[in-house]
Amino acid sequence: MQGFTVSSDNRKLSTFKKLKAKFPTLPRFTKYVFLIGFLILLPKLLPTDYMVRILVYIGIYMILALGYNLVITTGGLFSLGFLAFFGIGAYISGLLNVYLGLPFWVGLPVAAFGGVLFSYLLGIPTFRFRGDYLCIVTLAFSEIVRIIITNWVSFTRGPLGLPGIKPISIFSYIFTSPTPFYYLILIMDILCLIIIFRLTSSQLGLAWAAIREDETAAQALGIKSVFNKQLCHGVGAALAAIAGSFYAHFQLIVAPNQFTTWETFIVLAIVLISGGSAPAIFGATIVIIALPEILRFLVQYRMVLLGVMFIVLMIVRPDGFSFTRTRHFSLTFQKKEEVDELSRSTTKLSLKQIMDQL
Amino acid sequence: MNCMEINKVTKDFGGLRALTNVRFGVPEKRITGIIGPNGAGKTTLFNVITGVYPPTEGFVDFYKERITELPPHNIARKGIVRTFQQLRVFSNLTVLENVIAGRHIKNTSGLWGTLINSHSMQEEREKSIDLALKLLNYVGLIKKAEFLVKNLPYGEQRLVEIARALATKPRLLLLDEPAAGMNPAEMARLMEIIREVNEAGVTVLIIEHNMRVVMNISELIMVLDHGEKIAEGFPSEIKNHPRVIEAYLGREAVSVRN
Repeated sequence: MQGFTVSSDNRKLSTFKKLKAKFPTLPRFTKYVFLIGFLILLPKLLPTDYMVRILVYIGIYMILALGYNLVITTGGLFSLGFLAFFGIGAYISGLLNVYLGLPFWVGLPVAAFGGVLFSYLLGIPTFRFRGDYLCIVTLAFSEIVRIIITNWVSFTRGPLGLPGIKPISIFSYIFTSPTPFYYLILIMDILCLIIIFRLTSSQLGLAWAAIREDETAAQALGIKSVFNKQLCHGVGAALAAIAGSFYAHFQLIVAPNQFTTWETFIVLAIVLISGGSAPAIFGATIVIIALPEILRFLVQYRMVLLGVMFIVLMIVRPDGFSFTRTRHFSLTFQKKEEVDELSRSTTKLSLKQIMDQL
Repeated sequence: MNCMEINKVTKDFGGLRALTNVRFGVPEKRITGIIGPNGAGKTTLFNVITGVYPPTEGFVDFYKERITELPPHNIARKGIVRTFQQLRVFSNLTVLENVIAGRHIKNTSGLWGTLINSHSMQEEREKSIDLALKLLNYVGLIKKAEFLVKNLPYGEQRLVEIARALATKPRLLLLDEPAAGMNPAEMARLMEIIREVNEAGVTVLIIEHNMRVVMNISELIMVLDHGEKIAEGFPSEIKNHPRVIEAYLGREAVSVRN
């Protein structure tokens, strides 16, 4: 009996050692556990509901910023009309709710689909061309969307906005205070981060980066440029629309003046300040969304302060605040050891042998 | 047997005729050189072959298949891969990422597979990284796998471009002035690599200005001048060909020789 217990302990130990070798970042995960724990407890720690509302807005803008970052930083598609998809998602979800009584859980996927559809239609004329052309056309697109929403009064109630959107509910539990919204957006943010991570560290994300770096060279390797641009922009648009759908059922009213170019520049500022990596986007979102609220006591001067901050940032750190460049494929510790062995080994594979394996 | 037939290709850019009636067969699994003075139309010919722009007249066939009107990415998928005269690497990506980018064609995981991190996606990922590392080890850049390409010296960036092209497992490799800007040691290594690429079964078509390189490794040479093919033959024939000498050095040089 004694001997049996000891040997099973040994086996457990060796599994842990194996785990530690394969995932040397295991200790790093504990840092994330603490972070998640803090985020879960956060609403309880804040004194007012108003502050929790700010957190929800941060969560919504995070998804927007991550989607926009994917399009601009990874894809290199400098689209200036990104918020149009936020508005499209919000209105699709809002209209479905007000006219057909469909809940958030139906509105969300339909909004995502709508975002992708409009992204595809926008992309047909624009992605065939390169460079700054994209900027102007996407800007025009977002203005067209806003103008249509504003003027189609019979359908969207135009500038009066669309009130009366029911908040999110799970079966019979209706979300009344900001707290359940917070937890939902927290889950959505985590899912969004996982999606972005998987995309950028894949062959597909690398293809998008390749197109951004040198479209001609990418095509010469067999990468289809229009198709991949559509795909990248489509994912971004879907994320924006999803954020929009949530926004509609949180705000309970949507109006065209919430989706102007001013909002686009806010999210663009988040992306540019952050420099592209996800943790930096988190920080930048907090700075840009929360800081004006925290600085409310400065009244109108808070915007001046923000402006001064941006200018200083552009001088001091024009590439943004990211400390690590987004790596698409980086070598794990284990792989690095294999690399060392490979470079030291005397038996070299002939090129023919290597290429036969390709 | 010829893997590629360039059939009466003519290319006009508005009023400028860059190629006139070029007719040439590329023998398979051999190294063929294209030479000619600057502005002769060599890169234009490469661009036509790889679908950057279509010819004004004429056709290009690859293993009896007409590839003339295809877009560049489809031509790459057929097995025709090129490097560029002015070096087009992905500067802000690492060496490893550049070579893995070459594996794009071989990967079948789409958006969905990537999002759910399917098993096939993980396997392909492992395989891509392994093969990229092996290629980098071959060209001697494995220790710099995680360096950003823009931080590498020029000669090594060229090697990255070649390794990236090899990752696609090409049937025909088009090299546009690969030796440009290289020192003698780098050039020797390059020639060794080109020979071994050819031994691995890849047909090589190389544009080169450096006579030592191209005369040494090519089995067949075609000469272009002002958009026309003026000579075709073995290096020994081309070296003494009067029209070739005239194109490079002028008519006086020919008469001096005579």
